[in-house]
Amino acid sequence: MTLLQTRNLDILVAQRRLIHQLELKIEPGTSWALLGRNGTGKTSLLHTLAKLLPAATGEIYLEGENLATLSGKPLARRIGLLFQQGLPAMPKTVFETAMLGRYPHHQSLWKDDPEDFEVVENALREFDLAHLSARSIDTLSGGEVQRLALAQLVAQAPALYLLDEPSNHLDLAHQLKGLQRLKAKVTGHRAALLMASHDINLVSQMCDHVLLLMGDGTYLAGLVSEILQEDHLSEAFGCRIRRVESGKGKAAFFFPSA
Amino acid sequence: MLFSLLSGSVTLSLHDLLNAPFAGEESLQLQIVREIRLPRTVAAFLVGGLLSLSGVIMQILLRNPLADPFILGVSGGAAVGALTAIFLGSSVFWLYQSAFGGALLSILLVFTLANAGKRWSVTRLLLTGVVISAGWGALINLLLTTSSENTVQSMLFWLMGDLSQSRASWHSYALLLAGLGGGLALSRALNVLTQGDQNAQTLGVNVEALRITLYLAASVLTASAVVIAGSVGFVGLIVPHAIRMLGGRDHRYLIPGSILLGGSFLVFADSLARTVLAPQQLPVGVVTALIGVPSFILILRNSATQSP
Repeated sequence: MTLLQTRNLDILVAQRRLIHQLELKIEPGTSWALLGRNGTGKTSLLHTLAKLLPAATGEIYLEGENLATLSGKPLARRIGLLFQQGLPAMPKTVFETAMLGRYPHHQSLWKDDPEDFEVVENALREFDLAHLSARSIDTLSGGEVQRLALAQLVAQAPALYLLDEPSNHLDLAHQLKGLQRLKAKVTGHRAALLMASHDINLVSQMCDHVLLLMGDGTYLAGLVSEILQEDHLSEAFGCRIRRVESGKGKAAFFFPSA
Repeated sequence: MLFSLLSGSVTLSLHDLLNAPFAGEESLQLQIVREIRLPRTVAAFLVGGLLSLSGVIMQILLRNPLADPFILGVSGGAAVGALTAIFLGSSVFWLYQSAFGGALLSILLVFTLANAGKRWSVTRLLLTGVVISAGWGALINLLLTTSSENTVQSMLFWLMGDLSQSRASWHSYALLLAGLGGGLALSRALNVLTQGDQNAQTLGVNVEALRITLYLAASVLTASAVVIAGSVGFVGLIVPHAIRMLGGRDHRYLIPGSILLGGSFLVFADSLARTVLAPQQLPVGVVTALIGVPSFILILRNSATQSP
């Protein structure tokens, strides 16, 4: 069954129609990239799909159920969102912070479930944070905080991962590793991810589908090979973008040129 | 607790206390303990517990470590109510009613203004509360300057926080228990709320409803404490911090810990207030600040050296 489907979705921000009549279908097991210039509505779209913002018109369906009928913990078990600005530096430990991702799964008001501990420990290990478990998060670096936010999301274990610039603050190794971990949660599972990004090269390696916002409300959606073309990208970003093949069966490279 | 029962203008020994129930009906000791000290000790514990719980809630509601139970003007409203009653020479009964009425008025005023038309936001709530507080402050000063010297004395005692007239009613027991129960039921959601509104929302917390609940709960808890004992400062601000620094950042422990420490702290402070300059009694608010400041600095120093 289709994991996420939008029908006739319009998104307005400050009276500007950023997204017009979006018909998006995200199937389980797929990884989608969300590309577009600054201010074209990438974050607004992610927030609308996570039900943080209301849509101007149109409907959103999650596995056939109207999003309007879902809320609270049941919704949080199915949709998770990584915010662009990371996590606030509260006086909490890394482990406590990651454990908050288990909130929608807690059965008891008081007792801790050993399974939750296991899930959180695994999530921390996957993002190379296990050794920082007891550290206060206000002592972490920017990249470590970003990895912690990812670990919290993985502990939440939603079906639909919405990611707002997940590679922010990450070094090259962790960009690749972190996104591979996320992809592993999706590929072959009843889950999918949609990530907003400005790194076209990373996207071309990590994703199989692209939603490209053109800035005037229109969009292109389809396979990476169809959408990541010089003409589409140059039009969307308003500057000439060149595509260079790196070899047979390998991802292409993209760079802006004057 | 025991210290509080034993100490006071008339000193009792532990032996007296234990024998009191078995002595004759008219025993002076028994009367002192049963009629004066026991209710006062219980009232002190309740007030300390109510204020500390309210402090925990306010700090998370406003996401501000400097928030205390009085920041949104509840105590100001209660104070204006109480002072008006003193000004008019009303009975103690009417003083309570008037103080509670003032507090409720303030709660509703802030709530309505902060909600008017716009979306609920922390900044809006805080600003409204602070402005209303300032308004109450002006009225308090007006009442103080226009009153006779005698009434000013009792007004000042009330303003500084005073337990000498205090009797806790069953309402306050019920409220503290309800606050404890509700707080524990919500403690996981409160943990999540420290991550910010949007993150909490995507983790499945109904942020708007939770915020309104927290505001009303904290206000009513504060109001009932203020009605019993006036504006006893400092307890609601530092007790939650003390528990956090001692390692109780999880609200499942922070809430009961704060109630216990806050209650005990106020009982202790009140005992000192009654004994240090006996037979004269100090306002308990003075003592809480005098003990609170140095112990807070001590905890702050210790936690600073321990953190990795």
